Amino acid sequence: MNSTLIDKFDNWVFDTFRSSPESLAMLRIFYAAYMILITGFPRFGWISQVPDYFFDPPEISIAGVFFSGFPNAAFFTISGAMICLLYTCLLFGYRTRLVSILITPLLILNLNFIYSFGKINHDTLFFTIIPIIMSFSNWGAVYSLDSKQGNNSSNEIHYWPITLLAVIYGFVLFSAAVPKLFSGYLDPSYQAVYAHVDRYYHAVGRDMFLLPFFVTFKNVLFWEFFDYGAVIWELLFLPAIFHKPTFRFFILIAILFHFVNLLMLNITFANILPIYLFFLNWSAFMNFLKNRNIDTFLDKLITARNFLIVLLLSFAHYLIFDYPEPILLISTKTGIYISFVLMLLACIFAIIDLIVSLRRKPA
Amino acid sequence: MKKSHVRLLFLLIFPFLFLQLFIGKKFSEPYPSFIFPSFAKVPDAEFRFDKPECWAYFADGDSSAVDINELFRPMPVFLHERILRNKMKTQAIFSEFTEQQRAQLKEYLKERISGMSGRTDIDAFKVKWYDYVRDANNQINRSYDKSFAVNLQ
Repeated sequence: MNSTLIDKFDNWVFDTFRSSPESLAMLRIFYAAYMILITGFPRFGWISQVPDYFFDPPEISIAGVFFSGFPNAAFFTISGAMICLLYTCLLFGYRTRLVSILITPLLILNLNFIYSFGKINHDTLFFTIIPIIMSFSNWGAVYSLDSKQGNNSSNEIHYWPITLLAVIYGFVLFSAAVPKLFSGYLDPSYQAVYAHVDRYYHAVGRDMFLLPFFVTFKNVLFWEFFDYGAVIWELLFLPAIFHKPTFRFFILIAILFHFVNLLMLNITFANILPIYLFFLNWSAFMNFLKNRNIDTFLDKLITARNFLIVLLLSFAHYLIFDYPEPILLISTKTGIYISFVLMLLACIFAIIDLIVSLRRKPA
Repeated sequence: MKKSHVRLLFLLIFPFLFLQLFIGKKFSEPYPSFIFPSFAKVPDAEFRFDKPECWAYFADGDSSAVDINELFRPMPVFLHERILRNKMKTQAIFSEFTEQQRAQLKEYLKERISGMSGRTDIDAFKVKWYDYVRDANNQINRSYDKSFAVNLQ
């Protein structure tokens, strides 16, 4: 490889999402807060109460290979409490690197049992893998107990983990597009998106937002636009990761896509929202926070005393409330309404972010 | 992580992602995997689907419909119908399980139904499957298809 190509490659890997240690720290805080306050600590205890008759894990998974039934209540109580502890540590940036590395396998192990009933939910993928990938970034360098207590062994900051998240995100959308190319999805005599709308209304029984309207709307061109638009967008997302402005535009489309899905099919994607935080224009956002001293305010909240208070509240909440799952996994109307508000906010935020980016770097 | 290691990681990640996609599509989807659902399956021209109904039967001849969401509480809602579909669709499925697993299921169903109905004289639990088909007049017609029953006496 010649040096120009290597330089371009390096520039893409190491500098595409270059921002600042403060931005990474804010990402850590927002991600952990989203998980604690919005998604809610996962509850796994109920799994031990169901019979092994229901045990149907993915063949290629830890549960599928090493387990013949569901673990007992003690397993889930301890692992659930550990997840509470680890997310609180992450929020306050205490032993950040170690905690980030531990959260992902613990979540995967527990979620594996939720997905051992014959169905995998894919919207939890990103909130699961974010901590272990970001552990390489040193996202606990500032606004953290680590920085205040001198726990950091290195001050080196890396931005390539965000590029890696972008690669994975681009790929998963690509993986959704490929089967559509070979299934007849793009057959002009058949409107695939409409078929899903029809099925969600009549067979699944969803009837919220614009779904009752769209099920009566049978314009062929309109639905073909969605059929082709979805496939083209999903396919092009992967190459778009190599060009930041295009990628940013695709991110905006992604958020709008989720919002339209919610309105049209009543499918919630709020669990996937944390990933979009990582692709925001963080230098502009940090300026906004700094100009209003929000960063200083947040930094002052990061104390050992507040850590203990939040930890105690987390444990109390975990022990007292026995709801079975993160609130947004609940396919109930309440969950869908909460999702609507979050998706709407995400759309507004993404549009502002794109406008700010374009104004700062006019084409 | 050294710069050279990161470069290597980014070079290897693409073949890895394609490999796990191939395994997921060709054999069985691993968990975790970096694959999103495609919603690519094109339904038949005939609009058809099936839905379950759960019933409890009591010793005095009474019967009552069982709310699926109540039955499986506190499991996440997205699993309820999936469990019925995978494990309670045909009677043949029941015989695929060990005696112990069947006994566990019976115990679980008894406990849940008696908690919901306040009755302990439960004779049986049945999942009835109904076919729904849209006719030429755009009407959706329902017909009984098959059932799955567990004796809880």
